[in-house]
Amino acid sequence: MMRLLQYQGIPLWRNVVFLQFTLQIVSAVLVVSFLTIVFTNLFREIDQREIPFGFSFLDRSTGIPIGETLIDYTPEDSYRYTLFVAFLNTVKVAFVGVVFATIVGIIVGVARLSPNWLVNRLALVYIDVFRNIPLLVQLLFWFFIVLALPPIREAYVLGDAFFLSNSGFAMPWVAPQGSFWPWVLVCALGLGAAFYAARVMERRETESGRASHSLLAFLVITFGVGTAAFFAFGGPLDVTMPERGAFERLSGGTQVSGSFLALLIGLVVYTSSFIAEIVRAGIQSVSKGQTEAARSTGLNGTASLRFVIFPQALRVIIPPTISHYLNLTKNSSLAAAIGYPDMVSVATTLTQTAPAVSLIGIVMVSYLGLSLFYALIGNIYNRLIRYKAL
Amino acid sequence: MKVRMLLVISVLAVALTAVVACGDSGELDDANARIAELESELGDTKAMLSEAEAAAAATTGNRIQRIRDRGVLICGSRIDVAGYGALDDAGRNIGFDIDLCRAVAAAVLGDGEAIEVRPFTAAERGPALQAAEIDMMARTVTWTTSRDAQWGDYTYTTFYDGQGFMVPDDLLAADGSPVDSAHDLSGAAVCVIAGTTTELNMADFFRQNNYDYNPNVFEENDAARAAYLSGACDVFTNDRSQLAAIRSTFDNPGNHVILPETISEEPLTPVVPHGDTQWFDLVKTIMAGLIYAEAYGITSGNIDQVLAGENAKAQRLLGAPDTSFGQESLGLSQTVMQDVLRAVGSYGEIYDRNLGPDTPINLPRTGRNRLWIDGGQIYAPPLR
Amino acid sequence: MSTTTAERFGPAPPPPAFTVGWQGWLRMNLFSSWSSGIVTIALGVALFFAALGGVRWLIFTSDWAVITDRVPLYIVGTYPREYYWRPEIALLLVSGLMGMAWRTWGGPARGFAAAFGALVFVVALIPYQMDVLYRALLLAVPAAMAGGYYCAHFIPEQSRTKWFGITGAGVLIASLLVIAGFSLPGIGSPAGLHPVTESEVGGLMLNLLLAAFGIIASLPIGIALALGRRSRLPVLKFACVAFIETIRGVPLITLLFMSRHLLPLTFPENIDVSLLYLSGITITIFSSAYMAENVRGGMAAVSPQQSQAGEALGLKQWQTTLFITLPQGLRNIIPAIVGQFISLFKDTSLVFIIGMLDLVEIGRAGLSGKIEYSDNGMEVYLFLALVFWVFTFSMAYISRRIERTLGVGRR
Repeated sequence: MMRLLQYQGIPLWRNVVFLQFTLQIVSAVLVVSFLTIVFTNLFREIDQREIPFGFSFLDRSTGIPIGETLIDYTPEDSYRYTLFVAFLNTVKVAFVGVVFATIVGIIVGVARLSPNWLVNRLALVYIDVFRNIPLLVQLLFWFFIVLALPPIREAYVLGDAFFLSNSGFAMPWVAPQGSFWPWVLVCALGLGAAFYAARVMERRETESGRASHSLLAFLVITFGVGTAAFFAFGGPLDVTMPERGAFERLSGGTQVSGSFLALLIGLVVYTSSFIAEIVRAGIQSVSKGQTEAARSTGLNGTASLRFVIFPQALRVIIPPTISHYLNLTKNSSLAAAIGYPDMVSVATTLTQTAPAVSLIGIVMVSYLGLSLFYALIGNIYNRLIRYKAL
Repeated sequence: MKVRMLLVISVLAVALTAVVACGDSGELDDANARIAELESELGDTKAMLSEAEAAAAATTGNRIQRIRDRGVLICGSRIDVAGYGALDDAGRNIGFDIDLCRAVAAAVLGDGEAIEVRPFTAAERGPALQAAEIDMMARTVTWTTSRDAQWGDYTYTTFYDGQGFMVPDDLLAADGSPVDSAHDLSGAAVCVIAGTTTELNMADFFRQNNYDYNPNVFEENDAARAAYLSGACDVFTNDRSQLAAIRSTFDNPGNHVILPETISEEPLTPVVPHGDTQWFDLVKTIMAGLIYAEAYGITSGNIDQVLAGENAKAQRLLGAPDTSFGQESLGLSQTVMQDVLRAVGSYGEIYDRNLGPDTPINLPRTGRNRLWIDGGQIYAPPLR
Repeated sequence: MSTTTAERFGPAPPPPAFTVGWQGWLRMNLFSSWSSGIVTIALGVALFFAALGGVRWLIFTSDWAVITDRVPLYIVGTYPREYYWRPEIALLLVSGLMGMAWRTWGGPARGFAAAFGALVFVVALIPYQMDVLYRALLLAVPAAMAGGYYCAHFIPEQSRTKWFGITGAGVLIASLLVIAGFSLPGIGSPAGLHPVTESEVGGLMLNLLLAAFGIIASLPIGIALALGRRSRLPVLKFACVAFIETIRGVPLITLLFMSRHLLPLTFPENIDVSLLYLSGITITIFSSAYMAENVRGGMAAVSPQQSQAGEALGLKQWQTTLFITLPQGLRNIIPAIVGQFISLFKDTSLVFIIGMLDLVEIGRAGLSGKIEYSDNGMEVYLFLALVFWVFTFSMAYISRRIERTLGVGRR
């Protein structure tokens, strides 16, 4: 070490090795001492003000009701379980939101490039309006719109199966029976077989140049196997219908509340206006020659978009879209304003009987977990396209 | 404290190790001397620490002085319920709870306007009190034993409430008959505000009776009100006075009934943070003063007449010479209650101005919210 | 012998009737094909009915008293009336700055300043009950703009960027301090101004104040974090990465909640940090993490040959970064930076979590605080949406113009 420092008689303050070494130490000391100061203050104050902190409450029963849950829940359940239930609610709205935001975003983004003046102006207005208004205001607005739907007694009903009212939306759903999991296994096998068959047919199509109906085959095999197995297992799923009970409220089937609807609409509209811009930019990033080439090979507008432009645009579109999926998930934390029991909303309610700092800490860690999940998807995708590019 | 000591010691230990490690063996004596030096420094630091601690205790302890230095009383309350805490068109905080804060501000600072109102959601009240970031909290806080233990010191109850249920009068129960009791509510969708005892009481009520229900939990009043009014919930549960206040905002208040059952006790009481008994006593005394002012028939308009009159008890309240109800030991002026009454009036005036029959809330003062001499429960220990 | 086309075929026939004039436009843009025509008609009918419903609501149902009766509340919150001159000074300073920008920069700055001046002018003259004093205060805005325009005359041409930067930052900081009454934590109010308590700073003023503060502070912090993340010092790099990723991974409202409860405790003893500063700090921290990622992206897009060229010129590493990589990186990401500013402005609507009365919260307080207003939610939310939209959309518009003038992507 000493020899390195005295290398060739260069003075110490100009020696690169020494400078780097010192900088490393100094930066480390700065960071550590900053953290030390912050945490000393923090712990001292927590100590002094007797601010409750800790996690011993997690196994106590919460006693609070939750309006809608994915899994069974009663107020006697523990904090741990309650937080998990709320986490699932966040995941639920995020998942449905991501699916719809993608669909709406693609439609609006493509509409933005439509030759039809009315369509592309409307798409522009949609993007410029919804992107630029705070989500909180939009959520409150949509909540009022949802409440303007008729009450449950006068709900819009479609064939005694689909109900839309200001209390939410209900539709028939399936309840798994004993033979459910074996059936799922068979279905998965069928799916794999269908995938393989479609792959083989596609390869033949490329080799021979003769059209084969790979997609059709894929669907026929998947559904054929699924249906056959369904009957073979004697109905692994039971259909439950929404039915009216006391106060004409619905039970059975699957239901989402009006708050969920408002939150979903708000998140989808807000996020899709960002995704639409990404889609537009992505499509425009594909060189114009590609469109012209596609059109000159005889593909029509839709087909050239679907088979030539979009696959290329996806590379530009997907990475920023994933970060907007994460934003959507985080934005769902505004649910409390309109009464949907997401994670933040439930945790805030629980703060009256448990340490607030610990609860919000748990919530933050959960969101970090979700964002890691999205980061993972992003990384996998990046690796996939890199692999293909080689 | 322990954590801090530990950190100081560990930092010093690291420094020591560094010093020792860098020094040659020949410098051992030097190092030893240094250690001794550092040790004495450590002693100094310890002394300084305990001094600082004492100083900190003094500053957190003397809230009255801090309020006077600041020139303004920080009042935890709300801005979203007409009658209790709201903003008028000019942006002034008004309401029953706000006036209680104004009374205390008038006592400590001589100016009922010298308040800073910080709005809190229901769930934020506990943490705010625990952090002692406010001087007092008057925000329809229900006094419960566990909150008393955890949140702060409760003064005297200024409003007795109980949780009830409001339904539209044409609501039909499961058996097709009109709902006229909370026991007809099994299977209903219920609107409720998050983070309140209301929520917990509701859960208890339905669970004890083994009723089915579907809770819709909202963070703020406006959303819950809109949801109830549009029929998204069948029932709105809240403190009965709040229900009355909310009902008074409807286009047709007559079409909604508050069911007879009261499922809980909700003594709404101003709270102060733990840890300063003098401040606690002061706020209690002012609350008592407001109540006794009404009992003695003193209002903001007749202070001079009362002083000229014969009622010795009333004159003691107003701070007539050679009388006392303890104001000087609290560091208040002799005539503190005159300032208070001129600023906000007596308890009765505060009630009538914000909640009484002449207001849109129109909550007649019946039952327990009358003074104890009228058969109610609004009461404070004698003022002398 | 050559003949021109005209000679051989006679004068060119006019274009077919269906491609010119308004019929032509309609045909080309709305009815170019069957499917396009059907879509046009369907959308047209839907729009017509939506507009009909909207107009009917606007004329027969809506009641705007909840807005018009409390205009000052929406603008400045519960700010004390006797101190209205303080935000007014800030407004005039900013207007003067806009006037200066009009002259020195022209282009988008002129467009924006003109639009702002016109907007204020129109608002000042709207016929509804408003104090003459407020009208006069608003009318002073165009005047201040003219003053700024005049003052810009004295700025030397070659150093206008520096001048403008210094004046601009000065004006914004002065506005901040004047409005909050110079009340700095632990220092109090040295200029002798009565400090305005934190919950009295509210309404649109609060949103603008927090946004301005956040915008000024988050760019340098973001750049510092981005540089830290690119640094070769492991501890520093790790700290920056951990910070950026943690902040980006959690919702802002949980951060606000935490900073409400924990941030004050991390300061040295006996320093009371007001909620105003807390919300400003939190929003800045949140925004700077995103800013750091933008900056990093922009710098990564700068071709490595640029820094190699810098080294070849004998610049030190920090000089290369500061004078070559960073400016080019920043130029790459101007749209992203403005996008970040826009979302920061929108995020200021969340400070109600820590008990501040921003524009949205003032609107909600109106709905539930006064009986007469209880049913006017739609009016309030539309109004709030409009106000936010005017600001964010004009930012987006300016960004597009700047992009065009700087010719990003076209050099």
